[in-house]
Amino acid sequence: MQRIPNPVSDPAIFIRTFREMHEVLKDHASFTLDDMTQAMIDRNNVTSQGAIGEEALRRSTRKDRSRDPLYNQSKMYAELFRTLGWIHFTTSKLTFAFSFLGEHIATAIDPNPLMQECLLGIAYPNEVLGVQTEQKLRVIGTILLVMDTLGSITRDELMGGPMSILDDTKPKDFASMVGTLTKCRKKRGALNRIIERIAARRGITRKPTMENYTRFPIAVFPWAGWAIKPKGGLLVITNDGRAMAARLREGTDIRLEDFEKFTDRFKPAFVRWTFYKMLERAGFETAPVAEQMKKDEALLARHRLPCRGDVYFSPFQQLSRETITNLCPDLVATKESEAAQVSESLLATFGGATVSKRPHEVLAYQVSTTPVTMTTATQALVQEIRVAYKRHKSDVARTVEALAQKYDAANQDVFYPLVANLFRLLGFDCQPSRRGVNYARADAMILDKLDSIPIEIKSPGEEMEISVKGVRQAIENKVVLLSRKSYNTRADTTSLVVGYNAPNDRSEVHELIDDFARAFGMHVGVIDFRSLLTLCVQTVATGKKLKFANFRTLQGAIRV
Amino acid sequence: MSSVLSQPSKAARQRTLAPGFQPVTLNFISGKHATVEFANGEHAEAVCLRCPDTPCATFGEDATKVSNFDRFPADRIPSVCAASAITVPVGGGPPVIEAEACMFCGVCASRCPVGAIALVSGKGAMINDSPNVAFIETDSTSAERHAATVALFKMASANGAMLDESDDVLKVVFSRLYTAWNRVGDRYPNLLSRNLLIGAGVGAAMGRKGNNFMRMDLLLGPPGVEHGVAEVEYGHDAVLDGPRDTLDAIAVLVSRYSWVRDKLVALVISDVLPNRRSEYWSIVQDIRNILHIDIGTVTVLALMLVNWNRRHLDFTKGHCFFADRNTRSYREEVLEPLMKRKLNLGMKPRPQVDIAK
Repeated sequence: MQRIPNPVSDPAIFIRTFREMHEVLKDHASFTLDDMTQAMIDRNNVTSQGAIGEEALRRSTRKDRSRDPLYNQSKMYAELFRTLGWIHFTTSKLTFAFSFLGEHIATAIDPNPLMQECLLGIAYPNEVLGVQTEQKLRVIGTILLVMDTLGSITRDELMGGPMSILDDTKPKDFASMVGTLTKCRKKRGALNRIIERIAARRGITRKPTMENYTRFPIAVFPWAGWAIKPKGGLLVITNDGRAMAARLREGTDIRLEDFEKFTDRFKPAFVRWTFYKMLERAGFETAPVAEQMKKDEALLARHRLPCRGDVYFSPFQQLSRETITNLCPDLVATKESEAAQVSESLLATFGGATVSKRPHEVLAYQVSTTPVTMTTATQALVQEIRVAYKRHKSDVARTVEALAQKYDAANQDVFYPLVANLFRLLGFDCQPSRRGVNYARADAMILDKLDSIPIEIKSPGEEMEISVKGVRQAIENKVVLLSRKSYNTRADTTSLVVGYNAPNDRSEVHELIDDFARAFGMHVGVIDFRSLLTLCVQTVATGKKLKFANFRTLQGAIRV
Repeated sequence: MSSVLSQPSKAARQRTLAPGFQPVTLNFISGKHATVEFANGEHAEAVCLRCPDTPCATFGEDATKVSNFDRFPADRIPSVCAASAITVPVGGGPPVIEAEACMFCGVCASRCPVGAIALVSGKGAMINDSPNVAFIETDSTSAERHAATVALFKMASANGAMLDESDDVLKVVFSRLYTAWNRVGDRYPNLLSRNLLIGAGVGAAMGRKGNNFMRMDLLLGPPGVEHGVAEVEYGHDAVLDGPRDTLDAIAVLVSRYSWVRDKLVALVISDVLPNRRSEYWSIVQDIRNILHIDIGTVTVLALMLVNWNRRHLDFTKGHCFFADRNTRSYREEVLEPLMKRKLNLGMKPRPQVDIAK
């Protein structure tokens, strides 16, 4: 499957980011990824770990560049800018320069028609990306042609069909791929099997890797007006899309392999002519180069090289800077100054940062004095834990893992009462809310004479990792409880979120919890399913219970 | 290196006022192009000036930012039309409106300095590009002359509405709104709401899709608001998220950027009002009780009414958008006080107009 990076899912923002980066770096002969980052920071186009501007840079920059979020984001931008032919590697693989095509995108009154041309110009293999690919593919064009045939396309069909075809220049292969997709629409599970095979062969995961590769194509079709995206991830072709597909079919498709077969002395004419024709189709005035175009066209025509109608070959997306410099030096910018080359200064200033380790609350085990009546369901759960504990030879970690796996697809109906029972097992008087009772808002409530605690629960069926969504709901639960006084509580008593996996360190959960504490003086505690299970298995194994006092003002994620 | 080629510049032939024509009054008439009364006693239909900055189609750089938070990573998409119904031809000439795609929001018309865009019932926004005795074409472009012409119109008085509300109008407006939403996609609600606020004279910047760190949909600032946030939630289910998303936005701004909680304007913007039994109204009340934050509920219709009537909202003097479970009728307690008159709409229950039982 063809890899297409996705630094941002909105083509309009993507174009604007490039144009603003160009404004900052246009006078430099070359620039690095760090220069790009700095330019994007200057124009407020990136944030990192809750911060914007220089603070974002400080939080992101670290010696291990592979773990530097902004550096990696710039890397993705650079890869897509190169795919579109707007920037090229210089002689070094660490520095870039704007291409002549990029200069036109940056200065166009309306860059959108040219962006559309560039989308159709993406073809693999090419010299620009310099990566080996087994595929021969004009990816956006082929997706459009498939949509034109089928009327629509889904994300999974993109993965299993046009983005994975080996050679789209062979009509037989194309027809076979469309035929397969048509059959898959009638046979449940067939497309999944194809995708799984591709994933296995490429050694990549379907989710998120393969799905991520489809993000950019899915974003550009509605943006270009070639498809609409009704809800549900489907792309449906529009009349404009059909018109563009018709033009593609009528045009001449020239790939790198075809170009390489041309006699060297005709190549400059072909490069110039195809490039200026591309600009002409995008609404640029080609009068200043009309004479040259006429000469080139005549030369190409004399030697029966493609020069009639639309010829799809985008030189800056197919040929390296070196090749273009050799063939058409007048199409390559030569500038004097280098960019600030900020890498070293960035590392010197900010390089001490490491991937931030989130502080986690630590709970001490103490014997609880709170008397709780065990319900039948809680007793059954205790029994289930005992059996698992015994089966795993009194190994807490293995017991927890086995139980966690058992419930890894649980829906709300199973997970909510399960969580409530786990808290009961720990000695809390925890009641799940009844389905359809909206008034209480919280999914469960730890009842206490003074400090009742609302619990927001996210089952694995809803989301695997605890996100900001749960934290927001926890705050709402707290506000509702304080306002409606259904149970006694105090303002600084925590509101809990329980979900399957702990929030990942890059998520904003931790920042948001701190923000809520600072802005409203309210505490949110977060506990993942395995941590909760660990407490429960320990409790069942040792008879110890969590003392309530440790729990009341929890803030942040608890991992046991 | 060869020279970079260019696309033809827009508005190659501008329009200006004929000598002796000084506008005194602009009369807006629902569904028609405005008529202009001139100091010389003449009357003429307003005609497109072919403004070089095409304010009916494109916001200037500053309009899509907020001055109270320069570093806000805003999505500065400059489209005035959230439905992408207006395009500015690359080759020049007046903007082209695909009338069938227009959902009558009125933002483009409210930004035309002369009233040359009419919201024509059953059709859509239409630009008058037919020259008349008062509006003449010029052979050259001049930013100064254009600015002087616009300044003359700014000094003129204006009256009337670009579109009068009616049951028929609302039917078309919301049918087209949902069509546009399907066509444009996820970003449409935020874009439409931002544009309606800007049209209503409120500074609004749109958060960038996918930005996990600054999650607010809209940041509000001068004019019209000192500091504020708006969460945009279209649809009966989504609107329930509005209050808690607003708390998230406020917490971020207060905690990280030292905004003053008590001075913040907080709005939830929606196409529909939750029904009376919805928890939404109780939660808004709970937030007022506990956190002393008034979250205003602003409907798309409210913002359209403001735009159609060429009014400006000024939240610095307070607002009438707070509604909670004690609100008997949004129409009577919010919309009509906002417009300072009864609405010309039937009493058929509609979630776009009032809180349903």
